[in-house]
Order: sequence, then C-alpha cells, then structure tokens
Amino acid sequence: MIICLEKMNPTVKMIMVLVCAVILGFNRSVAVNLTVTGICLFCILFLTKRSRRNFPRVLLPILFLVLVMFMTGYRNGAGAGSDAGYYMFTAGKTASNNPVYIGLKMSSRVLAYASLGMFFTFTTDNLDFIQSLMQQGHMKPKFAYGILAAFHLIPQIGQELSDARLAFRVRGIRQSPISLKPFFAAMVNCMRWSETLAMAMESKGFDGDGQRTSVRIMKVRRADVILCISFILFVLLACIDSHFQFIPLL
Amino acid sequence: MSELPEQVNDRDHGLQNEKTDAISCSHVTFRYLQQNKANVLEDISVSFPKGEVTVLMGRSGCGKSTLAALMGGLYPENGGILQSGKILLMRKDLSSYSIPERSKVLSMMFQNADLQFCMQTLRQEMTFCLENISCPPSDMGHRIQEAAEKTGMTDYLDRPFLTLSGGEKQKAALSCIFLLQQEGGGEGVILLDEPFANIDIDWAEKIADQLIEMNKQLGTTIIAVDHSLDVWLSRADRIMIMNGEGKICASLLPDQVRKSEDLFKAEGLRWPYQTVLSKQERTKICSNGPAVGTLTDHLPDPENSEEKVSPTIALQDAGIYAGKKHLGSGAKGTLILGHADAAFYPGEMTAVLGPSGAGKTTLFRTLLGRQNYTGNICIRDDSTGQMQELRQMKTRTLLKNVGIVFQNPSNQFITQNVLQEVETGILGRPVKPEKLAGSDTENAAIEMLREFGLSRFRRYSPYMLSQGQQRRLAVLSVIAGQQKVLLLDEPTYGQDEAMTEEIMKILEKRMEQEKLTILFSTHDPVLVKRWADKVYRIEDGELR
Amino acid sequence: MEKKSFSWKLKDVLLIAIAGVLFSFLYLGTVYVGSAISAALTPKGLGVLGWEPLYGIYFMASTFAILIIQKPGVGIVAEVIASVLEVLMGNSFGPSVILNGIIQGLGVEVAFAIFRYKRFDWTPTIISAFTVTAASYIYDCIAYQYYLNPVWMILVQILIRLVSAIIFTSVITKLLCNGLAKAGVLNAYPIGQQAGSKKDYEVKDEE
Repeated sequence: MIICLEKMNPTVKMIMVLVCAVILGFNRSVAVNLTVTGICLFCILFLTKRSRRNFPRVLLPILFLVLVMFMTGYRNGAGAGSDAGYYMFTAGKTASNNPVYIGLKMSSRVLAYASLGMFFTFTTDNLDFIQSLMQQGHMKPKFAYGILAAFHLIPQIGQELSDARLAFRVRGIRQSPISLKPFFAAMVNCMRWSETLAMAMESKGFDGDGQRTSVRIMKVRRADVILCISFILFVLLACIDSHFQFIPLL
Repeated sequence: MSELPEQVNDRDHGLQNEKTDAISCSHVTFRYLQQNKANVLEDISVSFPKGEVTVLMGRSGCGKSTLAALMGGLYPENGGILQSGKILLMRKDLSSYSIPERSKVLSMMFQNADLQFCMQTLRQEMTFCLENISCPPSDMGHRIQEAAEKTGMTDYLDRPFLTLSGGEKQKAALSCIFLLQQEGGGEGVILLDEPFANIDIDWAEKIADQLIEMNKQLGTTIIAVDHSLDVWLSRADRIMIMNGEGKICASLLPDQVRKSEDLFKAEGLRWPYQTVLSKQERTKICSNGPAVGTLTDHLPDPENSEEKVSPTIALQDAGIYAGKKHLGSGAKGTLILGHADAAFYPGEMTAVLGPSGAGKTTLFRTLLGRQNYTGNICIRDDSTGQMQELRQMKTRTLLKNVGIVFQNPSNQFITQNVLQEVETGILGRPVKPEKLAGSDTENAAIEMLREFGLSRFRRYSPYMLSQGQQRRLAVLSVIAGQQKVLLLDEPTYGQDEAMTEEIMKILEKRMEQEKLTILFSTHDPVLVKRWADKVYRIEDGELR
Repeated sequence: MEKKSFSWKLKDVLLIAIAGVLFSFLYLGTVYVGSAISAALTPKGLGVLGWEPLYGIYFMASTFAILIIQKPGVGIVAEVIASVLEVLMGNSFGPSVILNGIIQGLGVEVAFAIFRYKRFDWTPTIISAFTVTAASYIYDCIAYQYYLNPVWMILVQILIRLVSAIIFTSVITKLLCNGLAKAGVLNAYPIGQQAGSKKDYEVKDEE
C-alpha cells in the first residue's frame, strides 16, 4: 500500500483528486467530508515514506481557515433559512437550520478539500509530477521545464526582492513592507532573466517541442487506475447515499 | 602556438578557408528591433578556424556578446532580426541544425553563472542535457560519472547549486558542456561569453586550463568573448578586437600584443603588459597589500574617538554569520568569518579581496545591518561624530551613514528615470547643505549627471542604459546621497578598462573632496594595485 | 478569432512563470495582513472577508500575460502556469488550484475577447476585473458554499473582491506592464514595441 501511493502515477492521482473535489462540491453531507478527510490524513500519516516535516506547518493555516469557515456558517447560516439564495441552491430542502450544523457543513468542506490537496502534495515528488504531466498529460517540454526552472529560481527571486527593498532603505526612502516600488524594481531584473535562462537552456540542446528521452519514465499501472476509479466511485456513492439515504450510513 | 602563425597570416590577408573553419560569419547585419535606427552589427565577416583558441575583445556594449549569441544560434531565435548574412557552423548553415543536434557541436557558457541551470543539482542538470539530445536513459549514469570525473566535479554532483560559489557554478556549467561535447565526438566549438566576469582569478585559471586541455586533447575550438586578456594571453592562439562600431578591427597573434599598446588604448581595453602581474606578485598583493596598516595599532579607543584619525568603521573580534538575519538570537546561521579585526578610515580606499563565495558580499551586508554577528562592529555616526555599536544603531541612522553600490547596478535603481534617480539621492541627504528648492535640486542633479556624461540620458529609464552607464549612475546616485561610508560590491564587474578608470577616478575625487571612507570588493588584483590604499583579504573564514 | 493563436517560446513561459513567482511573493507579503483581519472578524462570523482584499493578486498573472503578449488564450495558459507553480510550492489545496486557475484565466480572457483581442488599453483591463470577479465568485460560491450565507454578506464579499480585482488585477498590473515596457525590458513583445523607442527620451545637452 505504501508503494502504491508514492509510486502512483501523479497525473492519475491528480485526476483522482480533482474529480473527487468536483464531486464534493455538490455534496452536502458533513459525514462524507469528514470521511474523505479521515482517509486522506490517514494516508499522509501512515502510508507514505516521504518527509512529513512540513505537515504541521501546512496544517496550521488550514485549521485556522476551517475555524473561520465554521464561524461563518455558525453566525450567518442560522438566519439563512429564510434566504432566497439558500432555497435556490438547496432546492427548498432545509435539512437543518441548526447553526452548528451549518458551520460544520461549511468547515468540513474546506477541510476535505485541503486534505485532498495535502494528500497529493505530501505523497508526490515534484519532479515526478512534472515528468508525468509531460508524459501522460502531454504538456510540452517548454512548459514543463519552464515552470521547473522558475521553481528552482525562487530563492534567487526572493533575494532579488530583498535587495530591491534594501536599495530603497539605503537611499533613505521609507518603504512599507507591501510597497510596490521595490517589487517593480525586482521585476525589471527578473524579466531580463527569462531571456538569459532560456538561452542557457537552449544552448544545452533543449528543444521545447522536440523529442527527448527521460530518465524518469512515468507509467500508468493497472493498480493506479483501479485505485483512482475505486476512490472516485467511493466518494460518489457516499455522496449519493448521504443525499438519498438508501443505506443510512452517512 | 608556434606552428600556427603561417596559417593565421594567410587568413589575415583575407583568404577564406572554409574547410578548416569551425564557424564563419559572412556579411552579418543584425539589429534588435525593426524600429531601431542603427544596427547592432553591421556587415561583419569573420571566421574562426577549427581547433584554435580565439579571444574576441571589445569595449562594453560594442556588440561582441550579440555576435556570440548569433553564432550560438540563440539570436535571432530569441529575438532580433538578422537583416542579412550567413553563419556557417562546420561548413553547414547554422539555421539548418536542430537544437539538440547543434548542442552536440556548439556549446555556450554565459556570464551569469546563476542563470545557467534549470534544475537543482548538477546531476539533474546533466541528466537534463542528456535527455535533450535523446540519449538512452540506461547510458546516462556512467556518462555523467565520466564527464564529472574529467572535470573534477564528482563531489559536486548532488549538491544544490544554491550552495555553490560562482566559480564552482561556472565549473558545473563547463561540466555540462563537456558532457554534451563528448556526445558530439569532441571536435566541437565552445563559445564563452565573459565567463570569468564574476569569479576570482584562481578559478578562472583553473577553468581556462581545463578548456585548453579539451582543446589540446579533443581539438575543441574555443571562442572566448572577454574584455580582459589576463587569463587568455598565455593560452590563446589568436586575439581579435572589435571596435566601437561593431567591426572587427584587428586580429593579432599573442606575441603581437606586446607591440599593440596604442591599439588597446584606442579601443579602451586594458593592454595586458601594462599591468599583468606575475603569480608571486599577485599573491603578494593578495596577502599583504601595498599599504596594509598594522591593524592593532588603530583599534578604536572609545575615549579617543574624537581624534582626527579615528576610523569610521571598526571591527573587533567580529564573527559574521551567513544566512538570514533572525530576530531571535537563537539561530545564527553558519559562521563565515571569525575573529575579524579591522579599521577603515576616512579618505581611504580599501579593497576587500577574496575568492568567490568567501563572504565579501556578506561582510558588506553585515555593515548594513543585515546579518548576525558577534564581537563588536562600530560605525561612526556622522551627525554626532560618535562611534556606535552597529547592533544598537537604528537601521535608519545606520543607512544615513553607510551607502552601498550593489554588484548588479540595476538592483540599485528606485525611480523611473535617470534624473529622478539622482534627485532622490540629493533629497535623501542626511544633512541638507542648504535648503534646496525643487528646481535647485534638479539643477544640482543635472550638474552631477553632466560630470558623469549622463545628462543626455536624463529622461531615460535607468534600465535602458547600457551596463557601463548603469554602473556609473549607480555610483552617482549613492554619491549624491552623501553618506560618509560607501561600500562598492565589485564596482568594475564586467567593465572594460576605460570604464573602470572613469568610475574609479570619480570615486577617488569624491573621496578626497568629502573625506569618504570607501570599501570595494573585487577579484581583480590589478585594480587593487592601482587604486587601493589598503587591502584586506577574506580567506578560509578569516579577514587579513 | 481571426488572429492565429500565439505560439509560446521557452522565454515566454519563463517570463510568465517568473512573474508568477513574484506575484506569489507579493501574495505572501500581504497574506499575514489578511489573516490578521480575518482573525479579528472571525468571532463575528465574517472571517472570510479578511482574505477577500487579496483576491486580486491571484488574478494578476493572467492580466499580466495578456497585456504583454496580447494574443488569445495566453491568459488561461498563464494562469495554469502560475497554478502548477503553486502546486510545486506545496499549496495545501493541491491540484484544485489548477482548476481554479483555469476558471480565473477564463474570467480575464472574456473581457479581452469582447474586444476581439484588438484593444489592450484601460477599458478591457478594467472590464476584466469585473469578469474575473464574476467567474471566480461563482466557482467559490459552489466550492465553499457561500450560498449558505445571507445575501448582504454575499454582496459585501463580491464588492470587496471586485475592488481588490480592480486595484490589483487592473490598475496595478496595467501600471506595472506600462512601467516595464518603459524600462525597455519588454521590447521583444507587442507592448514593448508600442512603448516608443529609446530616442524619444533623449534630451539634447544645453551645452
């Protein structure tokens, strides 16, 4: 199972996550959201060997967002029973006007989305992801490597921005941290980089459209497809069931 | 080298010998934009024989880099218009090569070491190169290993580029070139666009030696675009000079250079015999400069700080840390400079030397209050005349006293036109000489610009200026601010001789007028010999 | 569309990607402020409004690309490039950001399509703030169930987002592009060629 998640083809995994997110968009059951969250967190915590060092740091803002969403539903949702918008979208079905319930509805949705996203980022290697986008997603190499190159430039871009800020201070001009002037100065320099870097890459034989071999050959294995389809089906059935209550599980 | 002159002399008489040319350009005319009035290159015909090491020299902005990019096939692919002319690579039209095919025969090495890589480590980058030319994945492992062994980079294969110094990065770039050339059988061309502009001379020599070895062993053709011959004079087979109009005006053999002082002067280039330093001399400069003071004598004595000779900056047992400055004192980052003692005095120009990545820039950043340090660093506050501990100084007060010219001049600019750039400098003066009305500021600024030969461009956006002009403007904008301490990070990086003279002269004049304390970092021992009153060297984590 | 679609070169991709990274720095610089406002408003149940003022920054990559390259489709592609970068940087919403990006790119693109990609001045740029706000809000409304909120709150939310889009996506991005064109770094692109040549700025010395 461990091997399954890390080696699962990133494009297939992406499709799985995206389709599930879309299905969840039409789901109104708190239980389904929490189930999806549970599965994803379980996978991140127990079924991957990749580093989870960042996990708490990523989770914290998410929990804050969840709290915000809960309070939004809790404080405003209660009065919403009389709202036109509410009736329009829920087709008149007022399952519950309990403010806690509406709060949970809104917050669990965000939690489920974020869990799906974290499930993807914490079980996928960046280089694998880009390679797979090229090999399975038919993304052109110039996009794939262009994005990758910019990604690897992030530290330098950050340095550029901080130098630009320093330049203003050295000249005795006060800047608020969100001021756009240093941002513009950094931008001018960074824009020049695009041409320099493109030339360097092309001089190394990089042809943005052409044929290339690849060390990382990303394959779509049968297990990936099965896992993808079964997870999507699971989420779909759970949503349908929670809506119509055929089997009153969720 | 001795067996070549005959052939070269033939060529000097205009005989085209296409069979032995690695690259030949005929009647190349090129401009960047259709609406530009002038062409960057006008009707250039030049050829580079196979297996030779040629240096192409010229003033900043004469079009030599453009020519290199054209020969590398990067223009007009990436911009500009080739109005007319033809470029042949190994007797085949350059434009008929596919990119991967071309890269096996022709490689380029660029000036900016940071912008040559799109991956995180050398191994990944080399894999990227091999993938580009459709090398079968099963072969990649040992090819990478082989190339890395030959360039001596095996230990660097899995280290992130971010942690490498400029010299190491250039060597990594060379490893990639070597790898690709190996695929093409070795008889290729390597184009170098000012490859040593921001690495120190030791690294430059190492890399140049490696290139010469490739040239000797594999017959690789090497074409280097450079503005200085320091590294190349003993290694090149031929030296070509491009004049200000973008024409090749001379083609010399290395032994003819000695007789061509006037030519070099006329083209604003550094004539190597005037200043070439022997290895011993260089080490001498680097280890104890022309006038290194005995530092301990001048250590700041707080009670005597009103004395005339008191320093403006003093370091006492300072330890400087790399990495970001954190508010908490817990994480300090790695120590890059320990137990540093130094003092800098007004009216003195001090050079800071050291290999790339040794911490010259970090030292400057520390003096601007951007890094963590231990020990004592004191800076004189001009408004009170008192020495003050750096970490107790407010950033604003500090920056009123210390100004910096960045390594990259375009980092310097904060406004949208040249005039404003100087005006803000004047307005930002800590102590205004008199109350300046708006128009007075403008006049003062124009006056200063005129002195620097920039007043014609005062409506330009600073970024539109040429590299040399940008650097002059950067220096000017900081001088205008009248901070008493100026830090210059590699002020002559990528400048030709004439420009260097100009910048340094202006600095010296200002220094004498205003009793400034000037610190500049550089790799260039010649520059140090010519201008510095004092030298410090950062090496192995020590300041000497 | 009578104009043939633009063929991307590596340097265009890099241009947009690097701009995308810079925009995300801008976002990171402001998101703390947003979160603080959010935290203050949370007890009242208005926490979501805290981040709304930053929404315009999300859309910047798209307008930026369209204003510079001035060809159909670049807005969507730019937004996809920016969102794949977000995924690489570890955005906690993962690939969903890409979906988000496509919708936002589409939102911006509509405004320029109205003028058949012939005008790239202020009018379509301002209109794009409206269209992108509409597109992104419809998406978010479904995704985050904002429809559960009372109508006044929805309106306030849309209004803040619209103002933010006008400020960041339209005004700031447009000024940024004009500034870059003036600085001469976009000479290879349509916008740079309209900015006028160097000679226009030269001043004759009085002496």
